[in-house]
Amino acid sequence: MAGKRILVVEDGITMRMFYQDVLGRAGFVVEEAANGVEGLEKALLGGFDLMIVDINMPKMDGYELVSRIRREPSLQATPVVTISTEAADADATRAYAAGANFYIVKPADPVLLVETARLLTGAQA
Amino acid sequence: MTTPLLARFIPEARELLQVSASGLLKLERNPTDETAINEVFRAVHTIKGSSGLFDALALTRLVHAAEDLLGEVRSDALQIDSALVDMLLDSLDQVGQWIDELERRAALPADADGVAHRMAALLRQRLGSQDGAVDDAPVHAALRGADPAPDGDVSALPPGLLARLPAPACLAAFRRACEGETVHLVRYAPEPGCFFSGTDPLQAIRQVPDALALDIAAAEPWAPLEDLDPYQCNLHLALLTAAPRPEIEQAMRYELDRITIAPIRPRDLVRIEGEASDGPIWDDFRGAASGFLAAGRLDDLRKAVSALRSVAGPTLWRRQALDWLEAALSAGQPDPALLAALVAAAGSGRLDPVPAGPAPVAPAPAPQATDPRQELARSVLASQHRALEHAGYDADRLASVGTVVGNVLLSLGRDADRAAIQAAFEAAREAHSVAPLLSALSAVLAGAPLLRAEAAPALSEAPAQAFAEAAVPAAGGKEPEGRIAAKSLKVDQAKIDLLMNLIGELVVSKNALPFLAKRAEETYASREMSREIKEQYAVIDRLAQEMQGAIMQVRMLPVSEIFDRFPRLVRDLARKLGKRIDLALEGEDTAADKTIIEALGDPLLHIVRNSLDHGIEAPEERRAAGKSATARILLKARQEADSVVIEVQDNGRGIDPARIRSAAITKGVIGQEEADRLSDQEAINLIYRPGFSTAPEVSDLSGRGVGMDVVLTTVEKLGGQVTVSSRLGEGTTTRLALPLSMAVTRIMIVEAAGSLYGVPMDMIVETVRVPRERIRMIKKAETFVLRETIIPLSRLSRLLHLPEQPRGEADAAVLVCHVNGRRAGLIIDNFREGMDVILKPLEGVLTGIGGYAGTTLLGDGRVLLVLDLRELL
Repeated sequence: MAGKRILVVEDGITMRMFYQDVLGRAGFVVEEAANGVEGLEKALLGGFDLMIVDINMPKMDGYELVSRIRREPSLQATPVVTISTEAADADATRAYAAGANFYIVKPADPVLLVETARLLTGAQA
Repeated sequence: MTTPLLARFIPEARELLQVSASGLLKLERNPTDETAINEVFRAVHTIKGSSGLFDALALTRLVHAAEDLLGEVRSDALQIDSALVDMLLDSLDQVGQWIDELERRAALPADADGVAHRMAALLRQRLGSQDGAVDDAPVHAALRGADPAPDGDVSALPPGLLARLPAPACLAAFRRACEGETVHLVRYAPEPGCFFSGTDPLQAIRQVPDALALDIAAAEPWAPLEDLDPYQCNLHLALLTAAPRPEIEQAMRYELDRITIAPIRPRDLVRIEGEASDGPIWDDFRGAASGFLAAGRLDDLRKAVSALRSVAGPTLWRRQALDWLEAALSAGQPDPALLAALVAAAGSGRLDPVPAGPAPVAPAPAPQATDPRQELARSVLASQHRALEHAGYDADRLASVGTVVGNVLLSLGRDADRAAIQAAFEAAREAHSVAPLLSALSAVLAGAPLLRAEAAPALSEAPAQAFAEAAVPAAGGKEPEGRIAAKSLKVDQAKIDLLMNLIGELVVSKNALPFLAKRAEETYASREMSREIKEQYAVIDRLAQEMQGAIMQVRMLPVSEIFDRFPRLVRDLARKLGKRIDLALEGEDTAADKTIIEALGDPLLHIVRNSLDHGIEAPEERRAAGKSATARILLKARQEADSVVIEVQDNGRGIDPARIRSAAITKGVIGQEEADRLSDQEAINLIYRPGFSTAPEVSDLSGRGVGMDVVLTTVEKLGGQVTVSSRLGEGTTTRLALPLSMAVTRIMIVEAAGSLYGVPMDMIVETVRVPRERIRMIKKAETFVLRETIIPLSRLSRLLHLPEQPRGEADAAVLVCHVNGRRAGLIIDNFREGMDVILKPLEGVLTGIGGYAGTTLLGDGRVLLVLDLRELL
């Protein structure tokens, strides 16, 4: 899966390191953004096979970011996974309504996370 | 052992805790401060999210409870008040302690579970007290009859469990099931001792998404009240949910061994309630409906049902049966046996058991997939189904769904399905409808398990994005070149210190150039060379000064670094002491050198505590004195020339000089005679003498065995000054003046016993020449009178144990210094120039020698010892 690039948008430093660790070890190239605005900026630079977006973030939250991504022609085809500590269905529904493709509950199980990333980027195990 | 991830988490968590605490204080003052609540909520939320990565369940639980509470506050369901802030702050403090513990031992203390449970329960109590705040899932029946332990077999469901669920919830579940979703019954038997391990069973099962109905029943028949052990969990919980299995397992991941998850057939959900009714209309319906059903004319049956529903009373049993029938008919492929049973029920007014049909309703309940990857893929595809349903036809949305579905199938190697889905996409685009896509997706979901074709893992290399057509970014391969540069840099302090030392050396070595210029002129008689050296010196001097200024800027920190901890501190102390205090901060942006800022924390803390303890009166006393019950403390910082001035002002009772005098005498700090001679201001200054404390008993706040003398010592060590002014009944102001930077010290060079010494300029009050005859002996000590003040004199050469060289001069050179709160005169041989130096501490074998503040280099390369007058005098 060499070359599959993932953009992680997440305000928590620890969580970002976790994604780097887990996804990086699985062979993905992981880029980080610390909030929604930065996430959108980086996403627009292009070349990501998947975005993992935290819901609760400063400046621009995950819902807003996802709906902006879906309005950008160059990003419409990019799969987006939203991730949140809330297991509540309302949150998931809101994420799907905004344009997310999948919803994961924090803290994500590393195996599940890698599998999800593989499935969504079309990578082989 | 701490992992790198944990090492990253610890400082993050601390910072977030700090943010939360200060946000909470802002909220307490202004409960409608939206920025503050959002800030606090987000900080706590992030801690919770990250903490889940570590083995710190208790911590996560507690933070979670705090977050829930904050969520209520944020949505205005809960009003924030001081008690709530207290509780939250306590919880955050506890979390802080755990973070310390995690740093030390990479594990929480043994009692953490219990503590978390207790504190979380306290927090949740506040949640519970709010009307309706807690009922997000319909809690149906509570404490009823006994329930046998769940064993995972649907057919062995306890009789009546489903029947106990409210009919509307069952109907909702039935609808979802008929629409093709799998409805699961999650049965959860918490461990009887779970309350002690910090598990909240209700909270746990509420984490399952898409809940439709919740049932709680006693596991064993309830014991008589006198024997009942309320600390044992005697409950079985059952939850009806439309969430897919992986999501349920994810939500209940900490209790997986205590739950069973079973798919429920729609027919098992059917429950009809209502009044009996009769009439020819029902018989007609029965006849017609049976006919439609037999002929497979489902559309006609639908029409008949909706026609009758619109006329039948909604409370009738038979009308309710029609509701279920209508729901069953809405399925893509309705189950004929179920329809027949419901038609019969509506017709006859009675529900017979549905005969076991050959196949359950489509889609089949999730096959018992043992492969989590399959389950996950199923869940991802189901999500795309869900997303499409939500969005309807939206070209913008179709693209990413296309990528995802294509990628999932690609990843699983299901090329046939990919082709089918791609066709469906094209159909969807043409028809401007998601319907073809939805049914194709359903087909994939309902089909055989998503297993990869075993024989040929030869995978199509076609890029998955092919599905997304034009939406593929044109320049997908382009590397992001314009990376956003880091805006700030974290540098080890040691590196900055090294840089500063080097610059210091440079500043000092450049001082050699004027000497060189002088020599060029005097020894080599080269005036031109001398001039050129001086010109070069000017340039180097300017650059060195700029460098010095720049490095000092790097070391500057705003006083907010220390001010920020005071709001919390003052609030807590005030509550503890039963006093009301309004703390105001001013000039937090004022910056000073890091060393100063860091050293300032303790003295300031002491002054503020002293003010709270002794200065501020209790509210009643203040009212009696005609003041407002709420006292005010102002922390104010500002820059004055090259020093930073920090003032602590309070409008308390002020310092009573008479009380200070008598206290000082009692404590033996001064004698009666001295006390009588002191002016009021001098009496007030006594509080800075060692061993002085006016409080009758040592309080736990400002006590701690040290007095205000610590303040004086610390501040003077930093080269600063403390002054106190106070008006009885009106308040006290303590003023600290400190140098902006410790990097450069201004000294005066003095001569004694044939050597040169430096004396820090900030200690020198003035320099005078005193005629010998004016030096008087009082009790074997030399003194002289300077403007009506007696100043004790010491000889520097004697203090340094140097041989005295008798000098025949008529005047003695006296350095009047301000030391340890008193004035003292130092007899030296001669005054020399002042200069800016970088003071270096004594090193190596010299470390232990007292009396010297450090050394510095003179321009000609000689080492100059700088005196520490506080130790000498």
